[in-house]
Amino acid sequence: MAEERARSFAPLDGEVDRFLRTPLGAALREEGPEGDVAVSSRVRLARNLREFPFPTAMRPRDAQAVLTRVESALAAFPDAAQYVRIRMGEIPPFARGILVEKHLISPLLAENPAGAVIVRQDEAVSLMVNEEDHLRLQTFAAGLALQEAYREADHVDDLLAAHLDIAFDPRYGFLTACPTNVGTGMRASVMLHLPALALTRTLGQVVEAVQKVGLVVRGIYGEGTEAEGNLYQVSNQVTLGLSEGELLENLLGIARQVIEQERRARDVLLREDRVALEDRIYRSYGILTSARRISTREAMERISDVLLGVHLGLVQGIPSRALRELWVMIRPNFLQYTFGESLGPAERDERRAVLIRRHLKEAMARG
Amino acid sequence: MLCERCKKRPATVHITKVVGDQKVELHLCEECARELRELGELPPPFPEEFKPFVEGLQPFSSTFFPLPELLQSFFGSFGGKEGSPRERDDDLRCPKCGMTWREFREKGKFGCSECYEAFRPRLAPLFRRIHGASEHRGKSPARDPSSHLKKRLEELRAELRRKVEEEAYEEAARIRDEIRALENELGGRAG
Ligand SMILES: [Zn+2]
Ligand SMILES: [Zn+2]
Repeated sequence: MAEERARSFAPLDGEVDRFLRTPLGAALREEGPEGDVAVSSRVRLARNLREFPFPTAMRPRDAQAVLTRVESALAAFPDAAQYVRIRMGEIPPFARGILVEKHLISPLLAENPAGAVIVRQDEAVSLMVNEEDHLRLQTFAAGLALQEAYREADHVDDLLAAHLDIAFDPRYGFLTACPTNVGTGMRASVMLHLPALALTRTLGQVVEAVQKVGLVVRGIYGEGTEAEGNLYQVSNQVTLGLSEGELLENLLGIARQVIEQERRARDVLLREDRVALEDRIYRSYGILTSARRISTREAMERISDVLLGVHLGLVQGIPSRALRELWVMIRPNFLQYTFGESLGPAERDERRAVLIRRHLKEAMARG
Repeated sequence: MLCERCKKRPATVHITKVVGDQKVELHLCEECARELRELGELPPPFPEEFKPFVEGLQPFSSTFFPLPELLQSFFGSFGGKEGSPRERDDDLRCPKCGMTWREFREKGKFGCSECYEAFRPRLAPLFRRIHGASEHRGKSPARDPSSHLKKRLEELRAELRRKVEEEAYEEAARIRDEIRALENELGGRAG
């Protein structure tokens, strides 16, 4: 039994293993523009092949055919060699879990054995095949960089459209399985770290304001319960009737305002009760560097505090990258793969503490 | 329902917890929930002002709108009156995938791209309800399949010139190979 458990997290083959062991792809390692608040930007384009029923209604051999079409389109990319193909049916559940924890695929895709993801080495581009739509092209960029992410998505989209018959209607635009995505098929979002808005209890007002202009605010981790580690994403809700450029401009404008609000809240905290803020941040620092057992939830909160400390200049010597890496590393699947064995909840809490201490020590040694 | 933990008091707190890759439903009484929260085994309750965040929270990568509430409200507005447009519309059927308007209404998802044609008369008001508009104003897929390749080729050639000027020969060589591959492909298309 113990052997079986250990085997279930055994290392996978070369390229896939490398993805699974790297918490942050090259595209997200450095802080991007407005990196003190904006963690990353993402653009997702939903596309379908005219010939086949949508994945919600297709047969297994259609799924296979779609995948084959997409792969041959990809083979013609000038940088085809940069892409790695991972079929869901060929990797164990924990590996799919890690891809979800890394945001490279959705939980929905992870559950589809006919699904696949094609990821560029730097992880700036990922292409989900047979998710709710035949294709969900995603691009990622560090910080507030929606235009840059869109440019990349637009380019890859053109490359694909050159080889595939994409379902498009002059009046309704790109045709998608769900009517909420029709038109541009574009969902753009910015992941924001908003600890001060949460601490000052002004988050609610900001959210309300954002929702009034037709954007959506959601938590990022945590399977449909709540936001952890004060991470939120702001994204466009409407996909039809506005051009991609207009949608991006709207989102960008709002994201900038939220970022400004967060910075103001940070100033207020420093001004009103600096000692209380420092106390909180240093306690969290102490826990991360000394705890012997820590839950995912607590780790997320402490990492958020220390990251805030780094951005306020109160904590020195820890690069923000090390903390952003921890967001992924402490997740259950990633954690168990790192240790190469299946762990119960209490064991996980212990190993998580070990991993955090080790990772921070190494990061501080590097400076 | 009784609390799963103490099996004495009524369960008033219902929580979905994720353990590994499994979702576990917990039904607890107030006291047990509080105790578990203190033990750190359960997340703390969310303060009121966070409610808008909590509703429908999703992991970063997932589909953003799995529950088409807008659809529900839209379809609900048809009402069940006899001889209403709703009944007639139920007959609409997609010739390609076989989906009917009624099925679409239940699932909130189209079966294929032809459904858009089959249900066309009913879609504009639906899209206006969801998006506030019913006309696409964004990008169209490239009509000349090689146009973007040509554009990319131009970009690459300019980049190659720059790299040579900067004497960044390693990168220049990489770009040169990329240009060759692209030229081959365009040649292949023409021939
Ligand atoms: Zn109880
Ligand atoms: Zn259909």
